[in-house]
Amino acid sequence: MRKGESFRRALLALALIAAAVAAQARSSWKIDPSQTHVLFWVDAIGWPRTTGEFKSFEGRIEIDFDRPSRSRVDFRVAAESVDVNSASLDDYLRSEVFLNAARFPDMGFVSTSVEKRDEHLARVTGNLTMLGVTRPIILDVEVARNLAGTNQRVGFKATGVINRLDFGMNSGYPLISDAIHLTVTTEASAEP
Amino acid sequence: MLRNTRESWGGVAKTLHWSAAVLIFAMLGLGLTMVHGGLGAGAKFEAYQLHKSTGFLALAVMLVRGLWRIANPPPAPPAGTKPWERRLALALHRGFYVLILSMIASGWIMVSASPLPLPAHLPGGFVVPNLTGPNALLEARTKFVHEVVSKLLIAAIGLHVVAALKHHFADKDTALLRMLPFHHDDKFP
Repeated sequence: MRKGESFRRALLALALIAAAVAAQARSSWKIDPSQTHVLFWVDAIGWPRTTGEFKSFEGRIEIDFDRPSRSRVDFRVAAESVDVNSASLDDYLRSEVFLNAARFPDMGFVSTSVEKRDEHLARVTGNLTMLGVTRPIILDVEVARNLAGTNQRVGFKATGVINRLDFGMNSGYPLISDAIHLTVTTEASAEP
Repeated sequence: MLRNTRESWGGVAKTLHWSAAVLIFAMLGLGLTMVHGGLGAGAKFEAYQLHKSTGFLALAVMLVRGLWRIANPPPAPPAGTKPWERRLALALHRGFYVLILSMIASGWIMVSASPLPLPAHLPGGFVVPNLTGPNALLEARTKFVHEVVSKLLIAAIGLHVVAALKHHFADKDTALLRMLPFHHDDKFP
């Protein structure tokens, strides 16, 4: 009886140590807003490509360089902050015709799996929530690391294509393409 | 002298004529630029919204103009105008009303029928009501009409300007002068 209990304690201690080691291996990274751009473009027939940016966002990145599949990303964007370099087109995009920012102020992405492709490339699968609808999307992420010295930084460039019809954003289809091309560039520094 | 006389246009008619001229030139220039000018998406969108709003201003001016013309007969053609010239002038002047109102009507229907809901906004927060629901075929047809009539309107303006210059330089009569803003013909008080 005593023997079994000490064995269980040893097991628990081992589990705690393992968790601590794992937690240490996965580090938190702070996004630098000045180096972050959430860009998109959409094509339409008889209309020039609409290129824009979401100016307001926040996110968390956790990276495990040894076991990349344990990395995580969580990113949120304010629909209201859409900017296509035209105040009236911005307003139109915010309206219920497209982003419906009054009803759905946030769009979010939460990763569900990270797969390392090579030294500089990862494939991140996750759930995107837009207009209150959550659907899986896939992002290809280029990773550039500068881990030398005290100012450790990691740069990311995530690209993907969202089918807006999946989220119920049907306005103007098919003249306005269903494909929203997304590019998020960001730079993160290690959190102490 | 707000009202027309037998010899000359009054201040109201002149103001309406030149207001319409400025609006129509602006609309043709804006329309051609926004369609063919290679603008970026944002600038193009803003140009379209301005074109729509200005179109309803043109409608207001044309309605006032038409009513004023009915209430206030135009001056007689200058002496020496040939009968065929009178008939052509009358046809062209009526034609302007038909062409301009067709431009406005086709534009309004096009905006209304667009599958992408985007009504015209006027100053003061007024939103122009749609004439019809979304209808892609109707939109395409009225777009075609809008384009064809714009070319006819440009041709009619060309003819109108050539005729005015012919009156002034070839016939040496007052047809052009009596429409100018600060012209008062002292010979015909």
